[in-house]
Amino acid sequence: MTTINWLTLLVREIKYFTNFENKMYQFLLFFQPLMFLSIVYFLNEYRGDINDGRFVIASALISMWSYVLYSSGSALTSQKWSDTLKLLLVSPVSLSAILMTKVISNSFIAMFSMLLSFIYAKFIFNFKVEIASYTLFSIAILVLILSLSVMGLILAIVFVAFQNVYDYQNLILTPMVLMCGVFIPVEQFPLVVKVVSYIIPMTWGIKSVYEALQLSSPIYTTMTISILISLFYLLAAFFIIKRIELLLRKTGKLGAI
Amino acid sequence: MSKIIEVNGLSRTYKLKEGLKTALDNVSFEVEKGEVFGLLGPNGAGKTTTIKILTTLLLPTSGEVKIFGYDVVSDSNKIRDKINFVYGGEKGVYGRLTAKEYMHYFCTLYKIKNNNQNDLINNLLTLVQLHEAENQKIHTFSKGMIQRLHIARCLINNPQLIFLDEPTIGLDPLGAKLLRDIVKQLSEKGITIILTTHYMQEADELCDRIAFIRGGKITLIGKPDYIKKSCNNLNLFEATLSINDIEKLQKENFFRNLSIKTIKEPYYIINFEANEADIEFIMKYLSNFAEVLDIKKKEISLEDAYIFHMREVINK
Repeated sequence: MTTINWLTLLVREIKYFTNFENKMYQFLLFFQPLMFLSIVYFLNEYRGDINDGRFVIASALISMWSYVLYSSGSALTSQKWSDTLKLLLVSPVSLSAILMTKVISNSFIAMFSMLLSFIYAKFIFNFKVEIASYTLFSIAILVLILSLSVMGLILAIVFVAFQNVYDYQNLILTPMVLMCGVFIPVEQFPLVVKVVSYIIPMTWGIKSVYEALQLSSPIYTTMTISILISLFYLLAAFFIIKRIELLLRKTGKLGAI
Repeated sequence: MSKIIEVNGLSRTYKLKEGLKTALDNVSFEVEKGEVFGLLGPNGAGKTTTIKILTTLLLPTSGEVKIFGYDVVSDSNKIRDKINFVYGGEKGVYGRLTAKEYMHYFCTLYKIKNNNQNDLINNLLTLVQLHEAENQKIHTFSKGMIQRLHIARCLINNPQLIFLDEPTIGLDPLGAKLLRDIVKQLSEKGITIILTTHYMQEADELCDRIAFIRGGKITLIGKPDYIKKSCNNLNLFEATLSINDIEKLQKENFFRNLSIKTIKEPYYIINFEANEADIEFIMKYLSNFAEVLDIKKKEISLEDAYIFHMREVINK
């Protein structure tokens, strides 16, 4: 598949399949940041020592992660439910390439919450969010989108592998937010949790965004690690998706890996 | 004519909790270029499994299947470029998209250049008579419109072989006729079509050759006329009677697979099968129960032949 064709597919994915009419997605993208920022606002009123910038980003990150979890997680299973999976499977584009357009599209759409968080923070709550370098911050956001997309791809696979995962997806939501260092820096975690946190690609994407905000010195290293870890997971995901395709042809079922 | 499909000793088993289930057992057949080939059989006979294997969606357990000379196991990508399929029912669409958006999405998946997409989509939607509904959301479509959209979608890659798995299921007579007309048009263009259906009249009208599949095995294969002639020893009669005691007739073992339609008491039309072929004898025998107003030996239809061949399965 040519890059142009793949980009066209990505644009069509964003244009055709972004579902702003879905009430849950409306809540996650538009209202959840408002809700979290209200909490931050009243905490600040009460304590007065809240780091505005970090918490504006944190509230955006929670919404972004929630949106990616729910939308990308069902990227593959929803095709099975609508009986469109076999149409995608016999098309000349690989399932991995199709899934990549879906998860990248979801990560881009998740960016709405980041944008909205900044707008709410500035115009409703009057928070001061100081971004030292807009260029670096933008690059860090792209790094975050890559890590979120890879997480989306992994979720899509996990949702296929475990049929009852929908019963537990809410249990994945909050621990992941905590473990990726959205609120508390990963360095402060116990060693075992720290190790697990560091192998999650999103941890490094989030770290990059926070470091870009404050222009911390290791930002380039953090971004490089984030990209490398994301690429490693991307390769692993491609391999597993190939295997899912083969198993589908062998068993005729989209089920446990 | 060249062979488009070659199936030799195809078997497929599924692992179930209860053990292995054989869906296809040593199936062999060939399909020539430009043929409309019908696969007919009861539910669970193995039709969809066959189609899934031929469309490279499922691997065979054993046997050899070649499409355009390519092996379905190792050359699936080469086959996929030249085929497409339509599954019956309302699924397989993205309801929130319009017909045009749906077609654009699949055009991109099939790597059709952006410049050519609009013309292609217009032509295909016109062919299936959906051009006026191109900007309508698919979830507002009727079953017939969805099936026609599927046909348009399956023509995007200009396939030489199309699989239609029960395409007219659940359609009203007009919708089904429209779809049959489209299938005829495609066949006239030289496209090879594999059709599965439960509607025997449809199969009779559309298919050049038919295979009966039962319990994972092909039991009969040939032109519709050949299949009908294979039941030449089947004696089917239709009689119009005036009868006072219909129950007495029902208890009579002479008339097998008896079906009774009431016109207005005491007038009935009965259909039955008999060992005896002589109509005079049958008439005489019937006279013992009723006044025979009319009697004729029925010409065997594909449906009669189907019921005759599938009887054991149907009676299970």
